[in-house]
Amino acid sequence: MADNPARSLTDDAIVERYQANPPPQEVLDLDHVYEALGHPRRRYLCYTLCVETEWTLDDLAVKIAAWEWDIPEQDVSEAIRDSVYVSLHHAHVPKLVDEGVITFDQSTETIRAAGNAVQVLSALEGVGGSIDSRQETHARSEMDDGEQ
Amino acid sequence: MHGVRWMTASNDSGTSRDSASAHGRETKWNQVAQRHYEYDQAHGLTTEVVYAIADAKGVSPRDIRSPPLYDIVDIPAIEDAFFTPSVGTRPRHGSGTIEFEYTEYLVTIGSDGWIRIFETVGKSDSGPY
Repeated sequence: MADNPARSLTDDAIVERYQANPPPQEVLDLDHVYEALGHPRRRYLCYTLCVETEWTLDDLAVKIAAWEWDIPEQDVSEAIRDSVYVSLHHAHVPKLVDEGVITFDQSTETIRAAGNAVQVLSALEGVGGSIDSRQETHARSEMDDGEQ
Repeated sequence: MHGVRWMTASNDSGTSRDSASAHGRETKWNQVAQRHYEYDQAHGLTTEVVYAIADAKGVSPRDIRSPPLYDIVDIPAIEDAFFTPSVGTRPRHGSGTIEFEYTEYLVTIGSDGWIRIFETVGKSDSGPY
């Protein structure tokens, strides 16, 4: 196996090998990764699973709102939190439950990472550089609370 | 509230009215709330619809929990059809109205951005009048 086929695509031998072999089955198994990550708010939601594997909807709403608005968590107003909460409850959480990425306990309003989370998170790691630096920026801004 | 609108199951061509017509009688609907939606990925059509239902019910949007809207209707598909701003440089002009029932309410979403919530007549006595 070539370590980096993309770099060698002009190599005739490599091209021949790809032409001779059908795409591996795994290519078709990526559907839930694309579905899970197909909305910016769901990308943030999936990213929170790297931080903790278990979240209450309220904590999740505050965390995601702080990231989206680029403000410290304590500056997230109730109105903003509730608006994010509603979209999580009615759209993004059931979608991710459908895709097997999380489970949702209605009685405690808690989400937990599920079986397909691993694959989704490794896809997120594929763009890790930019996400990590963004998260660090947010983490720093949370420490400098009050400063604008 | 002004702008009360009457609708009947028999003279409407919307595909999602089948359940109402299946009862074999006309259902009259009385509008009790409306909100205007403009494309905005941060807020989202799902949120706006739930807030409109909460308006109709006179409760906090957080108290509208079950069932999740996700289980009832494909909101992202409606968003794509009506509200996605453009393809390349060309605006798209999908037009029409989608209707669905959520608990005791009839919800319509128009391509003009108006979300309207209706109750069946008879229940409206306890409505916001």
